[in-house]
Amino acid sequence: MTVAWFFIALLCLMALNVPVAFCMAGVAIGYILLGSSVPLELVVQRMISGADSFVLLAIPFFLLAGSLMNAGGVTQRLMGLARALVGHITGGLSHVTVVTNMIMAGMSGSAVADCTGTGSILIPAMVRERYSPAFAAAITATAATIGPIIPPSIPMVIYAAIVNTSVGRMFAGGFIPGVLMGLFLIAIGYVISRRRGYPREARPTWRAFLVSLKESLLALFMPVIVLGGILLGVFTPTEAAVVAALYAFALGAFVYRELKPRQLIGVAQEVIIGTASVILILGAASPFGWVLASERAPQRLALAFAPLTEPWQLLLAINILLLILGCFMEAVSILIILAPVLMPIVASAGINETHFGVVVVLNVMIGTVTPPVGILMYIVCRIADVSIVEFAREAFWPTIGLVAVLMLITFVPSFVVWLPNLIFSK
Amino acid sequence: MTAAPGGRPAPQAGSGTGRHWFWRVLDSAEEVLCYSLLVALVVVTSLQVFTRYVLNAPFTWTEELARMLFTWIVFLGAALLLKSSSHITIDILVRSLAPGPRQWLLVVSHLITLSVVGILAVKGFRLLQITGASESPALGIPWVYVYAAFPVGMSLMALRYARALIGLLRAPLPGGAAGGGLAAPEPPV
Repeated sequence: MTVAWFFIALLCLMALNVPVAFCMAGVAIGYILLGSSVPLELVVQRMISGADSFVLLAIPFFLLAGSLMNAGGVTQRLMGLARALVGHITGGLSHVTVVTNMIMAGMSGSAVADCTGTGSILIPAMVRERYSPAFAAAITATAATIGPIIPPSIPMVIYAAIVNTSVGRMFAGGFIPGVLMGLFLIAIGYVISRRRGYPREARPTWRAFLVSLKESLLALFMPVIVLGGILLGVFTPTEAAVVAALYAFALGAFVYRELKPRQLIGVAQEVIIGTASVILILGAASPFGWVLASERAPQRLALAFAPLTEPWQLLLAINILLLILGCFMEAVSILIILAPVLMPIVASAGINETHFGVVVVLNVMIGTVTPPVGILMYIVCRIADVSIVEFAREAFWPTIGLVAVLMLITFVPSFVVWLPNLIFSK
Repeated sequence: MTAAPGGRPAPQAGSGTGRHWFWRVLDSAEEVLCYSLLVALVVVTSLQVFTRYVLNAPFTWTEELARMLFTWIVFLGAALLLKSSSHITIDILVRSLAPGPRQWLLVVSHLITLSVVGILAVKGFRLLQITGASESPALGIPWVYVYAAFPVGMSLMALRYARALIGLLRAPLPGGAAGGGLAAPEPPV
């Protein structure tokens, strides 16, 4: 049996709407049933161990932090600050969306939480000020992709767990690309707003600015604690995630006093859904990966990529492949299925694993806003009540902006590796 | 970046007023258990951070217990996902089909998923027998209790898929309701 058949079987199962985790487990079971002497218990054993690692424990806590920030009024405070900072520029609310997402990115690590939190308030606000609903949706979804690029980041934790690299280096590597994404989106939002005559907010008085700064000051400590803690090596990512969640809880419950006990059930539900759906796939990827390895898939795939001798050609080919896949598949699934297969090829071409990791994570995040399948696209389309076609038309330029950043960091590795090298130099 | 009930017409949890008491009890028991496990996880991990940074004397057992709780949350939570159709699926094909073919496709997809989940459940219980009496190093908890999360979660999932499948087979052709992850019509069980 050739490796191509595994992927064809996997894609067929996926097309049939079988949950991604069971597509992978199913292929592994089929492989064993069709002529391998290995007992089927191996699949179970690998699924359990694939879902078990202390690093992965960071995921529920980063989700928890994001949910608690939305429920406890932290998100709104940050929005107020962003409004005072960039609201008076033409297309003000569009930039407020981007900047809020950039600040939230420093705390939550989950694009879905960022997107729901900012979108549910800022999309209606933009529509009230006569922005086109589809544009409001597009800028919110594309801005939310910054969440997992500026650290902390759930996909980066997953990548680091898969290829066994340092989470701290990954986090540091995402910082500059994330800021670039924000700047590109602000520039694109500005040009579009200029041409369409979208409004700006009144310039805030110094007093108003200081009030919003004071309101959000405690919230701004959170990225300092979380990132500072991880980058200085004080906390493990999991511990930092715990601290972030506790801090968000304390802010919402005791400082802003907006977190009601009733909301906690909704928060718990979001966390459990977010954790279980992703970790189940990660678990199922383990027996699937075993099948691929026993058929020497990475070696065969390496042969397919062999004509691409230069690292940049290899990276370009992988980027195009992932962007196309990203239109049809869910982001984390792509990451989980392909990262372990691609990593050896990339490593033998001498490409740095932190660099590759940030490129891949940014790439699959773009997949969350490209139709026909994309989780962030679904969320904002529902909030703004626009169709996917309308969304796609407006999301075109912002997405081009994200792809431009992707190309930039692909071909100029320093954008990614400079900061981690600076921080983690011996 | 994770799965969320985005884009799909999320069936409200508990909206099925006609549900049999068995499912209502099962659903709430599962939910309560999942939430309790999550609370326990938060407490245990906070304790770990506290003992390590404040007391400077970390407990040896917190990490082990946290990972055990995590395993249970993942596999029990996976069964819970079915209720809100939040398993990550690729639903372009299903969405683009007319109601008739869509229902057939969902039947096929449920059959496949049910058999995979069923095999995993059976083999999961088998693995428990093989595991025997080995215990975790710090707490001395038999691994059987940890690994049991897997077959239990898978069995609950199989139960739900079987029920959804029966619902699909019994249901008349749906009147164009946009189908999402699981069966759109609530089965009249």
